[in-house]
Amino acid sequence: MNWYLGRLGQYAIVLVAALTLNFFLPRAMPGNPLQFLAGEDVGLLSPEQIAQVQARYGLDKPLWQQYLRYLGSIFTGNWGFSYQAGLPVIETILTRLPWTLLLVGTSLLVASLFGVLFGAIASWYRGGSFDTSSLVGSILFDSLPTFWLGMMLIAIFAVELRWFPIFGAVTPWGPKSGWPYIWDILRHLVLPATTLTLATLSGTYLVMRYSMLDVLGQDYIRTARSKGVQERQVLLKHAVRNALLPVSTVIFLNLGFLVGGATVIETVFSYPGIGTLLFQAVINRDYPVLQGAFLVLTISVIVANIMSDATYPLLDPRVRKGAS
Amino acid sequence: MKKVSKLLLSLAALALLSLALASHSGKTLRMAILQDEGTLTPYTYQTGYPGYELLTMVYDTLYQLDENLIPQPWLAQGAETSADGLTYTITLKPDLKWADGEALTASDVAFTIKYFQDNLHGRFSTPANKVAAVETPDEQTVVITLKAPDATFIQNGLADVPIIPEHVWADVTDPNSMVVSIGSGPYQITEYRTDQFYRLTENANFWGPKPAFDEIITPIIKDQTATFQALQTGEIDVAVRKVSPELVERFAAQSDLKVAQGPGFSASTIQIDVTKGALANPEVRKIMAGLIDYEKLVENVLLGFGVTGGPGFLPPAHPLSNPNTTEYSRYTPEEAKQRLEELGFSQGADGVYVDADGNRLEFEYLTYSDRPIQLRAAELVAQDLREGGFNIELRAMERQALVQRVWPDFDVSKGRNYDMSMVNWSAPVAAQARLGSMLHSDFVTGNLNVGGYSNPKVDSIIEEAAVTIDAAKRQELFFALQQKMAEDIPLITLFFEDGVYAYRPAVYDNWVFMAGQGIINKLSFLER
Repeated sequence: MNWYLGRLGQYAIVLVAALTLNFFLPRAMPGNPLQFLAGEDVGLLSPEQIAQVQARYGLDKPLWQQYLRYLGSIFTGNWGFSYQAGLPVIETILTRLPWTLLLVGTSLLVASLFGVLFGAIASWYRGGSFDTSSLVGSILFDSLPTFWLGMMLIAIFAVELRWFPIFGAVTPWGPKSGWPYIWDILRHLVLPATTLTLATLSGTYLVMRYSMLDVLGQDYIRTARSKGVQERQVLLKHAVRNALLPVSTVIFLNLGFLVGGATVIETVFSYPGIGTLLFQAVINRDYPVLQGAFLVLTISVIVANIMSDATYPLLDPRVRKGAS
Repeated sequence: MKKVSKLLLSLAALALLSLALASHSGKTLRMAILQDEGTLTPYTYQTGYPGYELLTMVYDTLYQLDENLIPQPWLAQGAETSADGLTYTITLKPDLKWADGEALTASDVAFTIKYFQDNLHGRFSTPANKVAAVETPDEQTVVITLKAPDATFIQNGLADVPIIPEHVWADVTDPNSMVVSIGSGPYQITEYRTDQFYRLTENANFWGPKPAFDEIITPIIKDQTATFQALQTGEIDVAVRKVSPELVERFAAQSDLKVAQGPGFSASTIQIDVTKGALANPEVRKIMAGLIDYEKLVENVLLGFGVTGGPGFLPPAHPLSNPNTTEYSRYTPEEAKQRLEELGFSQGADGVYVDADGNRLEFEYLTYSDRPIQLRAAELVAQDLREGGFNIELRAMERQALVQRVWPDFDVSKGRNYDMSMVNWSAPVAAQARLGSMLHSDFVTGNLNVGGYSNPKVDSIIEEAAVTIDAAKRQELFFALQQKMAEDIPLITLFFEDGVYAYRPAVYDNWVFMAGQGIINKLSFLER
């Protein structure tokens, strides 16, 4: 119990530190959001008018007062309005969240499954042709720039073959409900999700592969083999299960970044996710959106960590014993 | 959320209504835009282009610029200007209606002016604040009295400020979070999906020429490559994005695409802090401007799709452009060095010239990191200047960071912290000939004067031009102003990029190319 309490205390400290950074980092960037507060022709305003705009958004107040207001707003749930869109921050985040969850969630799922699968097979047949080719392949996809990969997929599968659409999450002039709508969404999902999967697959794959190699060298594997356990059983019961422990940590961590979106891929495919929202907010110095989106991201990373910490003892009895 | 869904419901009802009323030609245009434009009200649209163009499809102005940028009566039937240039008596067209069926009257116009005076907006409050009083003797007549005569009031005010419905806006206290967008223009918004698309549907209550489409859908495509690929495969019919020079030939060769090309007014300039060291000397600036090979820039960077800049700033296609100030006097590197020596500079050990006190002609040159065209141009310019005895250090910066050094808080009274910088002035600056804003030494009048230029003679010409209504006299003053610019070189204008746009002619081929602005404008979306 104490162990959990101690952990929670640590997370509280991390949360406060992250919230503080979320406030100060955007403001440490040169420039300011004036252009988006006063409309595009801000240059035409007189200094008094500019001061008036800043006052309306509380930007004229000393930084510490703005900070206190920000801390208060987190708990009241009133995250303010986006400077840029003129909509409540929560709404701008919520309209994009489903798309981000769909895109990043799908590829996280696929990448985790294939990462584990490929990693297990590769290490089981270590040095074989599958091991070599999958290792080279994963390093290759990992080092390719994501935007280039996305553009190549578009050029081949959307422009040349015309199998998939080039942009967006749905066809604006397409069906609005029922199976045709779901089909439309899936068609739009394939290319960006594939790009993201290819770009992230190597993480899980490499961890799984090394973890398996480590496990396969352990005494208990030799013991199992020497007492005549079938190879299949050794692989599934003894090796893979134990090797999955570090992989589960990686997956949980990725889960935390799920809501952060995938800026580059969302831009290349014009996918309406959180990633491009964050990117635009940085460019436009849209402080309320930055704060809101980072807050959601911070909380989700922390929750994922807590989940990872909380489930680890369940998965690995050794940790449980060490803690009690 | 509730408010939004209510809005969507009422919009949907309106859409059904207008669908039922509109003749069924079933014509749809798919036009890719660049980014989300908010709820597309006068306070929440995002970009000058194409945001303002989309806005004007939903809202009307009293005057409308034609393809030669001449204001023509729009909601107004006409206006009478008093002899002193202070009073405009405007008669509205009869039987004007808002998209929701309410009558549009003189009191909406008066309300609009008052609203923009009370609720600050960067673009529309400036002309609104020039108004001293508005009277509405009857439902169709508006009498506007200005605080001072203003030659640009029709063009920059009456032809720019969208008229908003009093019955919708009367109780709106925070216009920046306004979600209801109802205008009197040819189209109305019937669907908006954040970050995905807008659906604009023909407004059955529109008073004017018939809209060319039943429906315009504007998917947001952020990536340039994806935009043009979508155009090539036929997923979209037109893009608001300018076609980059290297793509023009490819599009022109494709049989189902057509390219529209015309002069652009967006200017790539070098702004100079003219208060700083050797840069304060107009003779030095003249040498710098003379060293640059403008033709090479247009040829190599724009691949010929552009016009070279001149000391008078305004592009040759502009009616107020002085034909004598469209080209800089040029120097070869040898002539430049000789001229520098005449001015008291001498060549240092590494070839860079120094003044009598040993100060080197060495300047930092800022440029936007996200604009390949400006970056490439800056590299060529730096090379030209180096050959003439200058040392130029190029620094590519993120946009906001650059603005913060050149134009802190968009307020010229806050000074500046740079030597030279690439500055891209958007089309309206040249189109509306805002030379006064760029050159006047007063912080309010000269609110675009980011170089700190100051010349009393220039100030007085600007002040006189601002209140001169007579067209010929005004042109004379502008010519004189440009002559002064050629003498002083307050900034260096490198080039104007042409506007090049690609579209599918099978879907629509009736585009209006508005001088300096391109084919995406209200007139293109109406039948003629």
